[in-house]
Amino acid sequence: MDRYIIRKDDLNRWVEALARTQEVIAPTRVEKEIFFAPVQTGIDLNLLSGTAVLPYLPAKDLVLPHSENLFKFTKKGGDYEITVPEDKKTTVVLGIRSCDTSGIFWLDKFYQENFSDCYYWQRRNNLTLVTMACNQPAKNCFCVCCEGGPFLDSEQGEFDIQLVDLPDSYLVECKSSKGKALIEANSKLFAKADPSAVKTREVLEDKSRKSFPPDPTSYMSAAIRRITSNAVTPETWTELGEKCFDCGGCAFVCPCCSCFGVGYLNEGEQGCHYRFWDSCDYSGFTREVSGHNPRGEKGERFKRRFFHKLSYQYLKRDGRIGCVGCGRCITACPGEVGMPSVVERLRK
Amino acid sequence: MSNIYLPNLARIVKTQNETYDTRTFEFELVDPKAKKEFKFKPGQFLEISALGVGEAPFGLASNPNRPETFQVTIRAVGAVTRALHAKKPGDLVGIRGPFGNGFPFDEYKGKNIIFVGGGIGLCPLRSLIEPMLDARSAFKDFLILYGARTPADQVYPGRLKEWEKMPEIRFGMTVDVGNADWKGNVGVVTTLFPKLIQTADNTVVFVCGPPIMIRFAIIELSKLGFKPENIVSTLERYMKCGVGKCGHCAIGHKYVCVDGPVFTYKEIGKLPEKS
Amino acid sequence: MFVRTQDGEARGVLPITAHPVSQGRLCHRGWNRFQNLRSVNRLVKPLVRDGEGMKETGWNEALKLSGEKIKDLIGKHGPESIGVIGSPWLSNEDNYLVSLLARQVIGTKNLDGSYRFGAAATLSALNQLYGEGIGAAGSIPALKDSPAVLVAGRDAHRDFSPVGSRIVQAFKQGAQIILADASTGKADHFYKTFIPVPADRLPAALAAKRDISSEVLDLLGKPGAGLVFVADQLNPSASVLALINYLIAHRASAKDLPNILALSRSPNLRGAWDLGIRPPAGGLNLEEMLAPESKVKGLLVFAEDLSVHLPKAALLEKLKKLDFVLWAGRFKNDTAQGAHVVLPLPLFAESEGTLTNCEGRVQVSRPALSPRGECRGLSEVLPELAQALGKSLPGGPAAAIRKEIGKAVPGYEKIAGPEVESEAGALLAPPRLASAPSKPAVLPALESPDKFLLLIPNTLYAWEKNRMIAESPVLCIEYQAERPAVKMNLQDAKDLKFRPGEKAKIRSERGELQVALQADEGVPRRTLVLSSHFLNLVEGVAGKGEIDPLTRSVYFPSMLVTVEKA
Repeated sequence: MDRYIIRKDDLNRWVEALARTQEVIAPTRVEKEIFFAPVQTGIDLNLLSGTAVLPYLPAKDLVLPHSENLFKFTKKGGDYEITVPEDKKTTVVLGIRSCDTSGIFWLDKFYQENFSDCYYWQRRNNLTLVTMACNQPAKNCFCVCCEGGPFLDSEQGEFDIQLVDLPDSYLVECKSSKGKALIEANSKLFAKADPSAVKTREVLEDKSRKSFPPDPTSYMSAAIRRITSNAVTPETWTELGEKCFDCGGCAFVCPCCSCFGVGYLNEGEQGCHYRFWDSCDYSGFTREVSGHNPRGEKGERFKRRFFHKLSYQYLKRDGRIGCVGCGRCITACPGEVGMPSVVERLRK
Repeated sequence: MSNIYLPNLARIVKTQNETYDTRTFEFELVDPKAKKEFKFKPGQFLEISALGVGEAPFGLASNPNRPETFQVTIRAVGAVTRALHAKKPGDLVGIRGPFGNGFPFDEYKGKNIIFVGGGIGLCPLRSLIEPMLDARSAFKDFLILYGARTPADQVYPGRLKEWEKMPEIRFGMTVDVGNADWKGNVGVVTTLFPKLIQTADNTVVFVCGPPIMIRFAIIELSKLGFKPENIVSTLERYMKCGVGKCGHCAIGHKYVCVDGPVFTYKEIGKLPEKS
Repeated sequence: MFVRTQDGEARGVLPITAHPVSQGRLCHRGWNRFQNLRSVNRLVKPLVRDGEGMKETGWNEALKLSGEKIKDLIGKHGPESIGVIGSPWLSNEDNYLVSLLARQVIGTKNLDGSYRFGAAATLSALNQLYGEGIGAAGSIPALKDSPAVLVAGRDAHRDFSPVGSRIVQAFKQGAQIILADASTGKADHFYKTFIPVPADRLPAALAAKRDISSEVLDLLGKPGAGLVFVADQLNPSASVLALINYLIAHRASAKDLPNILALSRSPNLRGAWDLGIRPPAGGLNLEEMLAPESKVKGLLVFAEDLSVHLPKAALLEKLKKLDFVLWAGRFKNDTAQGAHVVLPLPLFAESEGTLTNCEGRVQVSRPALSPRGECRGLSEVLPELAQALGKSLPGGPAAAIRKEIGKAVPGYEKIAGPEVESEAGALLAPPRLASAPSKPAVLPALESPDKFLLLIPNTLYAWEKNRMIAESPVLCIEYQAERPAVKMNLQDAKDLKFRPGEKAKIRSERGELQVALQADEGVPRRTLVLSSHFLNLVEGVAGKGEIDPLTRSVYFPSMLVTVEKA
């Protein structure tokens, strides 16, 4: 791993240089909302500070979008002509937070298992992640309980580049060849980091970890234990499930959720198959054409979601729990049963 | 990078009506290279699509030893199956697969074999029965039990008659409700068990059919001394992708499309939800 | 909510966290809203009848033909031979123009909305209560701080997540959440009090303090107490009125009105009503227009598929008897099949317009996509149709029509101002009471040890037929079509030895019915539930139903019946 320093004033210069050769995506304010959106120049440095800024949708949306066409077809006589959409642009995401980065590396593993999902990988291979470490968590953050942040570990963590907001500059930690290419193409803007910068980084991380409110999510391990051993009663699942409105929002905003459905369109001689985010909250998710539904009960569906997120069986398979602690489900859930409140209920 | 979501086009070679709403389709892949490379294991399934209408999983029902053409049996129950039923020989469908683990054929060699099929549940079992009959001497006693709701609900009636006459296998058939022409057994398939099942020792039993039939079959088989690891079934789930990605068919941490659809009852018993 | 697009196709949605109602939270219809925008079952060209089928034509020809047919009918039978149907699936601007088309251009009083079969009872009751306009009769954000919320009908909270969200928040803050529903045996755990009586008997049950303690009743009288129900389902208007009147009479302080949220499954119920989509004095309502003896010979139907409300066969039969049917809509459907002229309209996501939500908040919906094919908005089409009839109508951009509305519609002054364009939209003024609260009528007891209580809930608005649902691969599985069967408690079915799907003979004082029985764990003991959607079945046992004097439409009161094997 290499460490550099970039002056705060130079960050915008770097972005402008990068934007000349590829798409640069950064948190951007549209009306009162914050989204990941393409930027050219003059990015909002307030959204790229040490204080956590989480766009409504996770950066997952850049590799696994809300919906995408799988292929289009045209009927030609007795035959079909099938075309697959291509996406060849290279993209840098700047200001993605450690939780979202952890989520994407988690999805990488999933989309490599058994076979490579080409729609995912054609975007992912052309994506470089410049992560911004969080000196100060936001109101709903609990990454510290899920090994999703607030900083990515310089040695063990998976990332391309990690920026740390120091008092007068950014510390730049670079780990991959993709990250290196972004720095080398603009090497004048970067200087080697001195040990004091690394020292400051450690102080900042320590301070950040301590600034999380004492939160029920520190009971995460108790919840994992109880789910794994099937110790949570069906009544508890039903009670939680009754507050779930089956909206699917938690799955859509979750950096780790990857379930999808497939839609089919057919108009005259042409048509299209497309996939879209789906959610195990939906009663139709497992319903078969016959009407039989193995998970027709609300409690059963709620249990399914948290079994996938928190059971040891999945933890062992995937190497981490299916939650990075970004807190987006708290924002999206109309029934107030996002991850922290569920974990608090389950540990008892 | 190969695209696993892209269907191969297959042509309908012929169709055969089984019951009033069930039809067997025989397909061959259009692309000569794909046709040559196409292989499948008994118990595997295909994702078959009517382009622009939808796609659904179907268990392969023909003999894997003859993969140049392959058969599935489709009951018209929803939009996709109805669209497939509307197709005629010569028409094209999309095929993805084969997917799933399939039956571990070689593990059953040297054992007594029992098949318990109910209604359309015989179809996936047929992809195992046929290659086993090809290698009949590798197995010991061979028993096929088949139950259907009425005589009109029986699938593969021609093949059933052939099996009934084969000297190298034992065969039992029943219907829940008979009619004037029906001279055979009347009653659920489990009523055949005491008459025809000889031993649970060194025996593996394959069960496939409607959930209620499976439930009673398991109870009766357990009473006869069958251990869960020697009872094999195929699980059904609403599978969208076939490759363990879409999440629809997950039960616990298993994906029916990748870890199944073939499971022993020992494995099924370990799943954290009812299957 | 934003619609996200790529290559001119809707690809996803994004909620707005700063919105005071949604707070960045959507229901499953919202999250999957982009899918129906890709529908391939859209009307993209004007169509005219050609024998048994329809053929494509140009806009000029379609409008010219419509103009001639309408003029012809007016000439022969007078303007009252024309009926006009607006819709809660149209913007305020469009409904305003539809209303002007009827009243000023054609000169007919036969003007109504497709909600006549459902929500008209609620709207008429509110109208009677607040004579000068319903205005902002409720507040979704304020529900969170309610001391008590009475929810009539169990679907109300889950089906409308911004409201349900506030109910859960209120529960967490210690509020008393009360569920009143006779068709369910069990309430979710956050309902502290459960009143298992039908809606028409609820006011009397509250007055008699049955199933509810005085402490809870007192909380319902406190300032900020809420009443939440699905307007499409509550019938007749007398029971809506009695329920609200009970709360008003019961309130602790005379200056506070209860927080009333009358929810609807259609997006602009309030707006359509407020902008005049209802019969003026002497006009026929939709049911009367379609009645066999009706003088209406030409029907102009805007935006909504009437078969969502009426069983298909009955509808086509009724439309066939008319000399001229114009249907302006978005999707190919049953109403289009019975029409003589079909005009393709853009979706909300393809045009600009304002909508009024259940609390009286007016907001602008802006286009995210360009209109499909040759679809044209009513603000262009109706002035042209008026011209073909030799009259004129205001048209032009939505903002210009809003200025007209601001001047013409009392209570809607704010629609012309800049506030409407803001993220939060503009709230109408709170309403004022027009009539003194009345006492709930005492209905005879519906109890008999050897009989069952038959409930005929108003589900004429069938979700599964709604195009937003049907055109989404997720939602069309979520909302399954109901089977024509009567639901009975599982244990009751066992006690009576009914096999699954077996037919039952149900007998009341008004008639007799044989119908498949569906055992359902959710139905309370000694209760039967039969959706009013299956009109033929319902009429067998309930006769022609009763007429709601305020809405002049049919409803089916709960009744006692006997059940035996058929």
